[in-house]
Amino acid sequence: MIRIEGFKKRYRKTVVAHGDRTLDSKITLLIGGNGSGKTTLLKAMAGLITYEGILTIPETVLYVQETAHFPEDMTVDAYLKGLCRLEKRSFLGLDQLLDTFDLRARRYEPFRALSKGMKQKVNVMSAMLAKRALTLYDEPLNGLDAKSRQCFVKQLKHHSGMIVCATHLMDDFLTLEAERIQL
Amino acid sequence: MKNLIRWHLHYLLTRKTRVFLLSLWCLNLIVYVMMTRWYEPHHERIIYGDMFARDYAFEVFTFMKTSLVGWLSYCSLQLFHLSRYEVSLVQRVGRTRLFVSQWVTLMIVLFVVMLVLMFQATAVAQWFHVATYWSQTAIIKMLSIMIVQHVMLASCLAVFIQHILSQFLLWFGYLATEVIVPYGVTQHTTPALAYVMQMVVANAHMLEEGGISLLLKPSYVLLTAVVAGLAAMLRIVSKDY
Repeated sequence: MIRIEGFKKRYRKTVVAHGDRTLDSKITLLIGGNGSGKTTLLKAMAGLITYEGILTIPETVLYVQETAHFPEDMTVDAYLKGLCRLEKRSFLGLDQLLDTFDLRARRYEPFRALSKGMKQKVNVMSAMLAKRALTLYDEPLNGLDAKSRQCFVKQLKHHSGMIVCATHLMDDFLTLEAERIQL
Repeated sequence: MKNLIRWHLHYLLTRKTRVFLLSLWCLNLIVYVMMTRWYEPHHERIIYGDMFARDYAFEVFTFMKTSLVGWLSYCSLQLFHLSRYEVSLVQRVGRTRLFVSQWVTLMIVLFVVMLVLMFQATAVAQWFHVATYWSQTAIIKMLSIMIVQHVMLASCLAVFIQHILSQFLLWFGYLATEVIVPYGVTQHTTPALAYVMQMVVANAHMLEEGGISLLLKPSYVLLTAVVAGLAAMLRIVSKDY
């Protein structure tokens, strides 16, 4: 369960504030236009920025950036396995995920050879392998093609732990059973 | 930690880095050979034997140092420029472990590069039958100086690099303490101290709870400039050269 109480984040000229609320669904979609404070709220939940107010969140959280950056010379396989090793996790499920996101053929290629969409797939996959109590996705569909977007939405159903997903692309989530919060 | 260091090395030794390292090493070797050739037949102080050897070693050391600064700056940029992938790593291993592992990696790289350069120095000197000043004590002293100075500098540079103004100020501090003031016996003490202070100041904000951005606060830039300036002035006033 996530509890938000009196959340406020001050930037130089603007203040982002969200009212008190409780998120207790497995999947929550944060919906809002540009500048509505979706990313700010996610980053605050992940403990990446300072804020005013109280956020009660599960112990293990992972924030997945909208645009991730990768070591350009590292291969997809080395990257994903490397992350698993850092967390002392097995690679179980890696092959299946590579198949799901149609990346098995490219797994031994370095990131510099991948397109933006493919990198985004790896970004999403790395989060799915992490298996945290709470995963925060920031615009995860950006850069993905239609097929991959569907794959991602399908995979969310099998995702471990709670998920909060910030997006402004609602159409892809129409079939998903989730709590929707307009910011 | 082992996996993390392996990760950093993987990230650091990209194709571009390897090419850069190889080019720098080739350049280093060419200049080195030329320097040795030039020194032996033409240096007037050759008649003083030991003094020549000491002087030569000092020049070699200075040259090695210059090469190292260039390379380390590059390495530290690659390694400490966290914003590119820090969020995913910090969340997985924690900020402190990440920071420590980066330092360890940088030290490993530093030692390897220094060993290569020192072997090169010895080999070239022996090839031209030049007596060098590579006593064990001298080598240890030089190593410690290099570590204190240049790892600190590299770290500072890496943190500061996101801000062009701070880069300029840092290099100004470096020039003031290192290049403008003439060489002397204990020339490294004050700049080393300045680097330590710069590093502490530069990294303090990195460890601040909650803040993940490496963007520099103006007060840190100012403080660093003041520290560097004071270090330079201290050396000039104390006539430590």
